[in-house]
Amino acid sequence: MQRILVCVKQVPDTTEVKLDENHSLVRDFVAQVINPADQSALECALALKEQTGASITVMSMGKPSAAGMLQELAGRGADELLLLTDSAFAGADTLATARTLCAAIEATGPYDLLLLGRRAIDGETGQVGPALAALLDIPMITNAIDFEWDAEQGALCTQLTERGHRQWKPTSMPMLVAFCEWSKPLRLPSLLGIRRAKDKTVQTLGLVELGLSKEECGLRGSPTRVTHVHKRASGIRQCDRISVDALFEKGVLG
Amino acid sequence: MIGTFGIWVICEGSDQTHLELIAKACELSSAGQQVVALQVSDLVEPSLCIQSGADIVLSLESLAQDACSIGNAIACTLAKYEPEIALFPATVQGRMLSAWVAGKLETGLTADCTDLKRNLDGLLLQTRPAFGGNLIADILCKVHRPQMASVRPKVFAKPELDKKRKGMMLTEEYHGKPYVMLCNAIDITEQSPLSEAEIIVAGGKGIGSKAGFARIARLAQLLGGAVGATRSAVDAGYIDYAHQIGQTGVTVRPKLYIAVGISGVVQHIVGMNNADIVIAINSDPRATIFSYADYGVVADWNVTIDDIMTRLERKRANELQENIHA
Repeated sequence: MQRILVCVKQVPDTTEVKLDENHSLVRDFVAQVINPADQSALECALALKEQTGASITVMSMGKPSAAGMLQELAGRGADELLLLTDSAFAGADTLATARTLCAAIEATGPYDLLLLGRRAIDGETGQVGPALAALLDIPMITNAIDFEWDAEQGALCTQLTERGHRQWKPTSMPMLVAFCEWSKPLRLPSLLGIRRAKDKTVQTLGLVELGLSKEECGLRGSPTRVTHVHKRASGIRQCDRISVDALFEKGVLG
Repeated sequence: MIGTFGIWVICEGSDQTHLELIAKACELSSAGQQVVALQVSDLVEPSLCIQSGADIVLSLESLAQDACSIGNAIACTLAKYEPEIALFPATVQGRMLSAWVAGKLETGLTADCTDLKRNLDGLLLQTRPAFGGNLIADILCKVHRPQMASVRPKVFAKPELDKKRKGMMLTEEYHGKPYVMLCNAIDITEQSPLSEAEIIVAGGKGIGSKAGFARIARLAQLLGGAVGATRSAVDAGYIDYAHQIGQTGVTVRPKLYIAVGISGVVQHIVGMNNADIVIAINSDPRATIFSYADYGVVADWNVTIDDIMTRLERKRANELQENIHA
């Protein structure tokens, strides 16, 4: 296990989103965070680095401002930082995003493991991981809650399904593992890490460096288009405020 | 035999959601358009697919167990028969399969659709929540084919089975190398999954402790239901993730949903708003949950469920007495 790639996404902190009395979105200034599920992926990489000495390359497709997030991750143990940014990447759906990440991964040289979160808290499709694995044609496990590596036994990945846990071994490496959020809390940066991080720079890669055409990425490279967005109107019910007595009288509780 | 331009439903066997999608496919199909159920698991019952409305059930045989190789088999088959639309259940397996297949076929996929319709141009209009469920987005895949969508369990209604309906059952073989091997399976819950429960008692952060959830469980037991939880209760460690209902948990569609000490953030609401009857118990009269409940009890949850449980136990005891003396 020598080199681990981790894909991360910077997302708005949507858990702060609230509705007001009119059930409208309260749009205060929203903080940007590292997508929680990606944090678990990075923590897994850091633990493996401690175990095996592997290097960690963190990459993110995002706005130029995401460089700050990547720089911060250097303090936690990331060795190489790649920001995939270009106006041509904007408006990408999950396929266009996967294609862009795939181009960067193919350009970055050999790696042993590819980790990311199972889904982002903004789009919440969970599609980029598997689509990326399909484009790279590597084994994948999503909904992962653990990943173990042994030099002799190889990899063992634990997946959470509707019925319980399933453990899988890949038939070849590298493989892609998509982690559940909260499965591995991300460690804080150490002082030593922060000091070392000052030497690390974020490498920026755009359309040209990745050898992509405008038709492959961004809005133009997206098979799906959002045609309309509207507020959630439905779902409101007429609430009858009553007592426990009344609940039983009405036979609601049997 | 199997024609092109059909509507295909991938039946992957985690549950019965594929039957719901087959019924939806029938609604969406234009005159003469085939509805094909693609069976990729032994857990799927082909006759139920026909009875739900499929014209053809195509079973793929000799498949390996993992999502990558099953995905390759599906991608190959879809490329061969060129359907207009391919629908997948948004189960754990279904999500892996659909996204892998969309990657292989380089076509558009919309996850977790809450509605599927035809637009005026005949395209599949895919509707799904966005931004944590606060907004609803309509999505189209204008050019690429098939137009792919995944739908969560219980979003669409279970179909009425037509036992007399006839259809074709075909098989094809597909051999591919496995990408991962299953080496261990540990089933967590003995009871049927939360998503199937008809009665659910769910607790929020207001429950305050594991002991509090033990009381929620007791109420659920008395009602013959299952226990649910909000994400904040799970994050606080009061109960484990298997019980989480909402955007990042399970979507449920029970006959009765009792929300105890739950504030009602939209990410939770989207997971339970299809319930037939919702009762909310919360001491805060302005809690958002009341806007999504049919009945609201504004009171301390502890006292309230105490009251409810006492009455239910008394009722049970009376019924038992009646049975003894009958």
